Amino acid sequence: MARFLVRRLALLALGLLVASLAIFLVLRVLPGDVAQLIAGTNATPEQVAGIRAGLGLDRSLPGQYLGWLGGLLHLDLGRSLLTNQTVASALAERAGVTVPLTAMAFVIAVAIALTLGVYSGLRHDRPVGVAIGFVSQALAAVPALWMGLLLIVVFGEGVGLLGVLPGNGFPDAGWGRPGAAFAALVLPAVTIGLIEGVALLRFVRSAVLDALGQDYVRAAAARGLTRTQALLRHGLPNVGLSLLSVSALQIAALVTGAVVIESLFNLPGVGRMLVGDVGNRDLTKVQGEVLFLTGLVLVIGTLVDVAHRVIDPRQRAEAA
Amino acid sequence: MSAPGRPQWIGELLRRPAGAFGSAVVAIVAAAALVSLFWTPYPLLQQSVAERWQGPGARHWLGTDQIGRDTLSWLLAGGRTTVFVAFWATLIAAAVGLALATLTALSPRRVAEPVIVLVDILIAFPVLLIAMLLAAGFGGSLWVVVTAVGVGIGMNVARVVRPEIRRVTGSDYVLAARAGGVGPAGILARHVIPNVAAVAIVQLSYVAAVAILAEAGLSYLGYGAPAGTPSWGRSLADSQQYIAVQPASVVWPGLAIAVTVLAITLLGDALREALDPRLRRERRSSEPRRR
Repeated sequence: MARFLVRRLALLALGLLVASLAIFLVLRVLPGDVAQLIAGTNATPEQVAGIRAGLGLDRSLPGQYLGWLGGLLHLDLGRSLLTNQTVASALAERAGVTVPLTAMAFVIAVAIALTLGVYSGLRHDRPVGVAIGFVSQALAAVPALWMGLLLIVVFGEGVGLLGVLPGNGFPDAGWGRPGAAFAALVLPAVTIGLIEGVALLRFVRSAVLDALGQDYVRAAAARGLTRTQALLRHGLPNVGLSLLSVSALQIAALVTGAVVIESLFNLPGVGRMLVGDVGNRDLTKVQGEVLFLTGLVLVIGTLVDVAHRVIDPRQRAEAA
Repeated sequence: MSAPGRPQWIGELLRRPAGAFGSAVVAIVAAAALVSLFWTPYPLLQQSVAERWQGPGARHWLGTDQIGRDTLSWLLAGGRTTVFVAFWATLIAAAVGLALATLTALSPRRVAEPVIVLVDILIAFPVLLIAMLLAAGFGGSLWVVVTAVGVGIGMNVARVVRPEIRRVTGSDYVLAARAGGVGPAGILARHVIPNVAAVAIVQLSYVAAVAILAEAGLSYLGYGAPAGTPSWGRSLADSQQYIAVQPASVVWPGLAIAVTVLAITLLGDALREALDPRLRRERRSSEPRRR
């Protein structure tokens, strides 16, 4: 276990290092004269020089990179080129939307995947099971963007047919008004949760089908349990494990979903901030934001791996 | 070992409902994109304020937008962008993925190992973030979309194809061929490519689906198709602006994306079944089994 942890943490560190290097390369090295690029063609030489100094572009490339890495170690991600706000504080502020949003979306996704996945697995030979399978395949092809727009059209306040939930913006007071803040996140979280949920559902369904064919479930059925009881009592741990390992793959999709869906619902989260900063060429912020989001994906992926290792007795035995 | 007959797997593919539906939709989208280069029901730039916000009707089958442009014409032309990103993203993913797979499968351990670790790391990077990063450095464009998807998903292709190449190169029949004096080029052409092609083609068919979804998202955000280019993602962005006036305009571009992506995934699934020589061989039980 200790060896596994060390290996996994080393891989995480390596991943973060590769990410930082890739980000630095794409933003600072490949585009050419970055200061001129940011300033635009109408800038005076003084303005360009100012940006150059502000970005630390007067230093050598390795020096710039190591300077950025050094700052990272004590959470100093530099300052915005436009507003002079520190990137770390901007991220902390916006994470207050993005983290609850992805967490809510994840809970919805898992709830959908487990209930409908197990149900459609148990009823796989009935019309209802086939229908769930078909609808989930169709929904997996739906862009999150469109799902969000359709939900706004149906439920959105002001524009929707039912007009019951806010579909645009976040209260200015933020979590100071918890009810309103929560309500603002419902439609976006359902959007992401539905899309991710149907993707996970298909894995749960096939894990259930797998479990139903296993000897222990058949043996339990022979002892007089119904198929459903047998599955819930003996098969569920295995289904849970496969859900856990697949959900690690879906984390990237959750984070990606946040970028588009925050923009769609006009939510002040990290994703929408990134979209704005890319447009403004605020490279220091983009650098910090992309690293933050990629880091989030890598860290959660590591946690899921470790959890899987701890829970799964087969993997424990292998390690011993 | 005889090469699989072409018409045979195409027949296998079209016999499956998923394969038939998938091929039909893909063909229709490609044809619509092609035709829209020469003809659309109304010229794309023709506006008529008097005819704006029409619902579906006889003159404009799918209605008109905020300045009276024909929705169906823009939908057909939007297919061009879709075909463009699907084609180039697949090509880039094929180049990147197959090159990495071949390199890591055939080179000595000390060369292959670091590359494999790198692929494992890069696979975790979300495609959309790669695209945003490229857009920040180089400005948004469709090339940013296809590069991000091609490189990002190319890693997945590499990871799936590599073990397949290893399996073939380590097999008895390749050993026999080598002992019989067949050179590396002959082995590659006669054994590796035909055996690996099935797995690679199936993987690549999913690249197109990812590319279409990514294009929609990035064009919506303003970093994909440039302004004025017909694109389903851009149309969705436009429709959101006027969602209070004409909620129905949200339907068409989204439906076009969803149906196309569904068709491509179904086609990929059907291809896997039709192309896999192991699955096929089991069905033709009269033929002697070879190991």
